[in-house]
Amino acid sequence: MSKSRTREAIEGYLFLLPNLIGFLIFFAIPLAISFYYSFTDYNLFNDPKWVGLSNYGKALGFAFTPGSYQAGIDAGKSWFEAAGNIFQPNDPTFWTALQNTIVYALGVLAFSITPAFLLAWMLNSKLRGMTVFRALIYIPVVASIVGSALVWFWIYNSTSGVINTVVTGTVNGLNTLIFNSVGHPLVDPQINWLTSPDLALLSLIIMTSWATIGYDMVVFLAALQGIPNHLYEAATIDGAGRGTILTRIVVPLMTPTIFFLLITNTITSLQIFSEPYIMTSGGPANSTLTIVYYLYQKGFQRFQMGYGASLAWIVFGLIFIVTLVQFRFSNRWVYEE
Amino acid sequence: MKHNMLWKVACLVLVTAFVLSACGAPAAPATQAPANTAAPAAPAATSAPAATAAPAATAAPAATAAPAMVTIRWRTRPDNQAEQDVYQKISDDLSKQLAAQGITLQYDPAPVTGYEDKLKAELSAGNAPDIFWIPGASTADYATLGVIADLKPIADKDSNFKVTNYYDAPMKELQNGGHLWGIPRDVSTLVMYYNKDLFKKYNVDDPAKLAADGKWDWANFQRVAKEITHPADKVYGFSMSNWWGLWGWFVYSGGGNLFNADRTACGLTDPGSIAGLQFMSDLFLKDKVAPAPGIEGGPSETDFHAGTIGMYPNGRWMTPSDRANDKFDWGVVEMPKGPGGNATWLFWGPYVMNAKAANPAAAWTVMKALTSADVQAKVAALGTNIPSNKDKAAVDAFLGSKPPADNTPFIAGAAYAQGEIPLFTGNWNDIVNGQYQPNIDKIFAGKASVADAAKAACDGSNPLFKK
Amino acid sequence: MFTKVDRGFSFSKLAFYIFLTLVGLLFVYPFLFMLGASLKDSPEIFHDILNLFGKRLVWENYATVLGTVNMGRYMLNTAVVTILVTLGQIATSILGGYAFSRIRFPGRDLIFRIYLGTIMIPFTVIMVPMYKLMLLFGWVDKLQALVVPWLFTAAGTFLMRQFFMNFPKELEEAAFLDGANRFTILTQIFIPLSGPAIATQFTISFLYGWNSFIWPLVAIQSKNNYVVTQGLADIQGGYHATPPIVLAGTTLVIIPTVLVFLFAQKYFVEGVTTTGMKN
Repeated sequence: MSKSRTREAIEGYLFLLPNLIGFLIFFAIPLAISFYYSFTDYNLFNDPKWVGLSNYGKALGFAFTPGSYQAGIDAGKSWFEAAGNIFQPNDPTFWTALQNTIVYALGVLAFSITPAFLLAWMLNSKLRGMTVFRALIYIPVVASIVGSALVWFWIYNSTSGVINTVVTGTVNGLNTLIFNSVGHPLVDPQINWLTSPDLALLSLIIMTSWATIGYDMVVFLAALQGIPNHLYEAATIDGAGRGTILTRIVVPLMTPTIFFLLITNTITSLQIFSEPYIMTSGGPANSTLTIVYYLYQKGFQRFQMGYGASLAWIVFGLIFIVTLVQFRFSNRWVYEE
Repeated sequence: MKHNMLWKVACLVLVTAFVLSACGAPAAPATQAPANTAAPAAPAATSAPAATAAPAATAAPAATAAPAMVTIRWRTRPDNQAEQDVYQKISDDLSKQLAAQGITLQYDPAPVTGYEDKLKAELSAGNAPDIFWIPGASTADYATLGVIADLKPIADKDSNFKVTNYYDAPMKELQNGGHLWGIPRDVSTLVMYYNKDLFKKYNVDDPAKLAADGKWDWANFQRVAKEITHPADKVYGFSMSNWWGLWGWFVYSGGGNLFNADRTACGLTDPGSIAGLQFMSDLFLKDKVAPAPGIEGGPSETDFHAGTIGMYPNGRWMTPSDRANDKFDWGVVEMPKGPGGNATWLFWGPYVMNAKAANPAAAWTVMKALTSADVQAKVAALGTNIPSNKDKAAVDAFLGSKPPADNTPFIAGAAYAQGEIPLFTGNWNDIVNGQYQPNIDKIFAGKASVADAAKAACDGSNPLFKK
Repeated sequence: MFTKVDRGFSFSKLAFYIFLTLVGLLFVYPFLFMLGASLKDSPEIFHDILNLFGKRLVWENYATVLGTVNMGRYMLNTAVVTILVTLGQIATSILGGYAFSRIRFPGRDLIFRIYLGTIMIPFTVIMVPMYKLMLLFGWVDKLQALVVPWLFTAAGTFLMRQFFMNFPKELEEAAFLDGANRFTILTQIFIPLSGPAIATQFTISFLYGWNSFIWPLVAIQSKNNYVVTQGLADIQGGYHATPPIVLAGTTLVIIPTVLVFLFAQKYFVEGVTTTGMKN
């Protein structure tokens, strides 16, 4: 190493040091401890005993029971259901939580990135008042999740909540106007937003997306403002319409931003905890139980910290793989200058 | 080269670890909040961290105490500020009373949300209060893990302490296996709160009248619930949250049981349990007299306060919010009689002692004082709790705390109540919350028949019991 | 959408404004509801839920939250924590981001990758070891526990690094030739150009500090050291049946962040360029 290189290296570490110290003490050490716990039977109170990979085996493992296929068929199940019985997961709740978490993440991606992009594209107009709209849409991002959740209780309440009151009003109105006279009045659906296992996860996805769109939109907006005006002008002179400009110029230039948001949104959504913790306690029927919530339940509420820690590392592995895959495939579609 | 780099990183980790141990102390004052007095970073050993962090604004009693005094830190989970104020006052009064014995009390309340999560983190770190309140059902979990002290040796030597002063159901559970895991702080039966104005409005038989005539049974309960229900007005005869205490009542009322007799297996598939759950399922899905249940402490309960619900089953702890919110005439009645006879819960929560309490003798003195008739009367007068002490003074203080105009249904049920069950044969959370609850939720949602749900709950939970 | 400055009237513009107004309302309605309901009587909120305001504005709800619940104290605590966390995170992120983007040193890319990896780790993973660490330092139930471990952020460091990466090399080469050292280059050249990234980090740090929930719940015990989200949990537990009080507490928790955002949004939004978001 040359002298200047050594000096540069020292300076590099000096600049990094304040950051690195905190990182090591308040992140790396706890992390290492939790990694150790994941191989033990730690229950928060005992001296952890090494149990090898058994926690991971409990979460990810299956029992192979080929005999249950025939038993399932005999019990009148379809071949598909019976085939599902051949592999019996050791911890079915884990797989439920995993599925919910993935649906949650995909749902939030679907409900936030596209609307956010369209809104950003609209708000990038050179018209008055755009900053006002931008601010309105952004406000949910800055509001605390705990606070927002307490408000959304009232929006989702199935008997006296805002949405269902509006729905009831609409149904009654339509009935008075049209359907009563026809003799087939509409039935008030009384949507059980948070109390139906079919809808609770969707309700949380909607709420989380509501709180995410603003952030995505602002990032898009910043990216859109980075597109030089002359590109639009040139395109307009060439006779391109709004649609063409959007699909041929704007979207390709936006791919790095879309990629960025895809990564950050996936990482946050896979860690969702507060929303189900406050609004549904993971229910009904485990329909909103996410992995992080499940590991919290196991680790803190049910004295299985070792198992909880192994779940945490599985979440990490999942996020890691998803991110890696996203990076791997990014060169196929992300536009680089 | 690669190895070289890794080695350097490893060195750096070590070096920073040393730097940190040197930096630990100076780092604290630099970031000290202005609100705090400049207390130096307290060593982990202090048993009362709250005292070392005392903000300038409040005078911490512990700080002014003479050094010979023993400080006993104790905790409850007050539901509201009024309750917290009463406990604070009790703590201060007892401090004065017990000063002669060299004991001073430090009250350390914790919020409802995350109460046990926080407690467990503190217990794990060896930092929990000397005495704390826990829900009855959790007692076994804490006892099994050895984090709460067995009080039997102390209690046996204390001639002033009589287990017979308290209700039998909790005492029986607390003495499981010949131990004594705590002293009950309060008890509550499950009663039916009802909106008298709604019953008058729709001209429906008053439950208290039905009860007085001996006609308060499932059939009449179902009938009045149907008569109150007017979906167009968003009025329902009945409502409840999906908390286990409530669906669990249906199980017992039907003649069933949550567990088998020695609590080593699931009891939900018993015919009585099935009958109870089927009756409950019909109320929601067939008769449609109740909206889908929400989470505990959530919207279901607020609906009752809104005046749109005829009947809502709950413990005594709902009374303060009824007093604060209900702009209608309301009352309570015992739970209706089912095929399994009269059934209700006796919910209870004990004060337990931290296994690591530095001074068990002093903590025991405080525990006894906290559950004395005198103190219990003070808490009972507030109306939140039913005293665990059967002493007449305490019970009379409770009965006089109105509304509701008639408090006797709260006490009457104790005669036949099923005590809240601490599960010494398995983890309550894993079994009831982890396996029973999701399947019961499926019944509410019409996603599974009662028989299928009960079977799934039992199949999932039976391996989790210790045989 | 409308890429040219055009002050004339057109129906498409009118439709555009109407649409945006509806969308905007959708996003703020929950807060309007919250504000209105926080000023209602307890039973009133249930009946005409769609009426934004009740017959009378019940300011007493706020008196309860600030007086009996002592929310003002919690707000002060939170403000102190938030300011310290925000300043600390910005400082360490700038230094770290600069090191990762502009200085070559052995192990840099490895450390950076590890940093990146940690963004993906849920906090719950490290909560119990972290609590024990706080105990070791004697910080349990002290505001230090809410500040010191949070002065460092891998995500913020990442953001700054990405932002600095896009500065052309010539920017510092010229300064080097003039004999400037790295610290001067950072403070004199890089930081003045980094307004948008700093503003972004400011917002993220500020929101984190103000809104964090689970950690304070565990780390703080005495009410005098509560932060706002704990206060809210307390109100929700104790007053859940008195929705206007809960919503008054919620309003007090949400309003400060909204105000800070409204003042800072100009810096935050307008300058952020796409470059900070690449790679």
